[in-house]
Order: sequence, then structure tokens, then C-alpha cells
Amino acid sequence: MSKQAVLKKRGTIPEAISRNVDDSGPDPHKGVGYVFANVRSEYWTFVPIDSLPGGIQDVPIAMNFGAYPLLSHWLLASLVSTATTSIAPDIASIEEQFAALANQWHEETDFLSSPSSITNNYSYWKILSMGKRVIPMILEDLKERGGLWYPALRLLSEEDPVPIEARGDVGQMKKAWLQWGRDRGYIK
Amino acid sequence: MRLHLWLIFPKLTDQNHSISSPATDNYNCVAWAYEVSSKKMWPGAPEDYYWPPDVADTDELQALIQLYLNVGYVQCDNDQREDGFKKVAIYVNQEGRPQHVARQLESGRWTSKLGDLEDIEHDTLEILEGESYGKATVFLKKRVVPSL
Repeated sequence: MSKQAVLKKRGTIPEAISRNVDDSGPDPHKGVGYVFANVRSEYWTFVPIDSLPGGIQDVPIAMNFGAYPLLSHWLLASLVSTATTSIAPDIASIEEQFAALANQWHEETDFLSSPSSITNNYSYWKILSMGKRVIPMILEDLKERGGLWYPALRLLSEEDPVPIEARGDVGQMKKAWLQWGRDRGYIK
Repeated sequence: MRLHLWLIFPKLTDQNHSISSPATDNYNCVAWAYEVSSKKMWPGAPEDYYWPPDVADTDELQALIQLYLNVGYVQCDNDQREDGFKKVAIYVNQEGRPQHVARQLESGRWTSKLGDLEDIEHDTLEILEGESYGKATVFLKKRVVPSL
């Protein structure tokens, strides 16, 4: 099930917004005119669309989202993270939980370079806590989006297929882990 | 202006920066400032990052400083452009841990690789300062050999 479908099924956008918005902020149910944004990965707030540098062009129109047509896919992914990890963790499948956590981790760390800052992250830990069953999902995310998944893969698999001479060479590291995944049957 | 960058670095405007290359995870800010674009570099994480064997990596900040000292940089006390020199600046967070490195271009602007995101050129170091990267506090400069 796609993230959008999951979100629509649960109808969690208003809940996610109402759980996060500052009480002193604008009415979250007005929707149009504001975009709900995760600012610097620190806090959630409503940002007037007019205040965005590129105005409305900065908010890709995501159709079919009822009262919130201006939420971009990017911001929507953040809401899905909140919805599936905070609101309904009990009914989300392992794939949905992983997708939400991985999205959140990427949003919060893709602009960082310090490995300790990248992995010292709640979503990353939460993914680790899900155990070996997420290895196929990590490998897929590594292939599609990259990121510092290598410590997680080492911890979960207790293996390291990356040759010493390839350390730091992301292309070679990725290749080694994806081949390892195929050899172990994690990648079909 | 890319929205995703502005949400992380609210001081960015169309006027004070430009995107100079697309997002990639092939290299990071330390490597980019070191003028390497084929590896990720960071001290103290040998399983995943390249680090020159002749540079001690026990202390992250000292290791970064030493990395640039070893290739001819010397420490200096400011980010102002100087004729005949290039500079790098290390951003440090409140805990004293390095978070980012930027390199000064001949024009006086700065070039930064933003983690796995894009490379940007920015007018000042202050534009990227904040909760994410901390503050640019360590500066080094290196004499540029004029090309013949």
C-alpha cells in the first residue's frame, strides 16, 4: 500500500496536524494559505505560503488530498511519519513503519556529514530495534536513496562485505552490500 | 530556491546562494573542502569513511584541522578573502563537535556540500550557521600557486 493510501485510509492528516501544531498558531483546519512544515527538523509549524521564498511554486500541488491540496509530497511524507509512528504504531505493517521511519531519518539527517550526528537519531534507532527483518528494506532504501545505512547493516547482519580499500568509496560500498544482499537472498 | 534547503537553512535566499551541483552521496563536505569528490571523509569512522593514515583521528576537530594543515593550510583568525590565498572554515556545534566544512572560492564566495544533498555556493558563512551546523569558528588558509 502506498504511503498516500495509508494516510487516506486512516485519515490521519488532521490528527497529525492537531497533535503537532502550536496552540497559538493559525487554525490548522483552514489549510489553504498555509503549509505545515518541519522547520530545520526542529519543530513543526504552519508557514504562510506567501512567506516561502518562491511563494506557491515552492509547494508542489499534491492532488487528491481533500482539504489539504497544497501539501507537497515531501511534507506529506513527514506527516506519514508522524501518523504511522506516533498515532497508529499498532496497526502499521512492518513495511509501513520502516517507510515512515526511513523518511523521517532522511529528512532529519540528509544534510549532515558527521556520522555520529547522522546515526544518533531516534528513527534510526527505532529501525535498528526492528531487527533483521528490516534488512531487505534497508538494502532497497540504500539502493534507491543512499545514506549511512552501513552501521545498521553491520549491526543487524554481524557481517561486513566491504573490502578495506573500498571504505569511503560510496559506490563500491553500496555495490558490496547489494551483492551481499543478493547472495544472502535478501534481494530477489 | 529549493524548499527543502530553505526549511533546513532559513537564512538562504535566492540572492545569497546558488546550487552548483546536484545531490549525491558520493562525497561529503570534508572531502569537498579537501577538493576530493570521489570519497566521503570523516575522522574516527574507519568502516565507512576514508581518512588519511598519517592524520590522527582521535579527536574529531583536531583531526579535521590537521587534515588541512597537512596539505599546506595554516590556521588564521578570520574568513575574509585574501589575495593569493584560499580558505576553509570548520563549523562547530555547541558541544564543540565539528558539523560542517566550507571552502572559499577565488571570488570570495564559499562552496559547501550539504551532506548528501546539493553543493551550493553561498555569499557568507553565516548563512549556514544555526542549530544544524553550529557556527563557523575555525579558519585555515593556504597560499594559491598562480597558474602559468
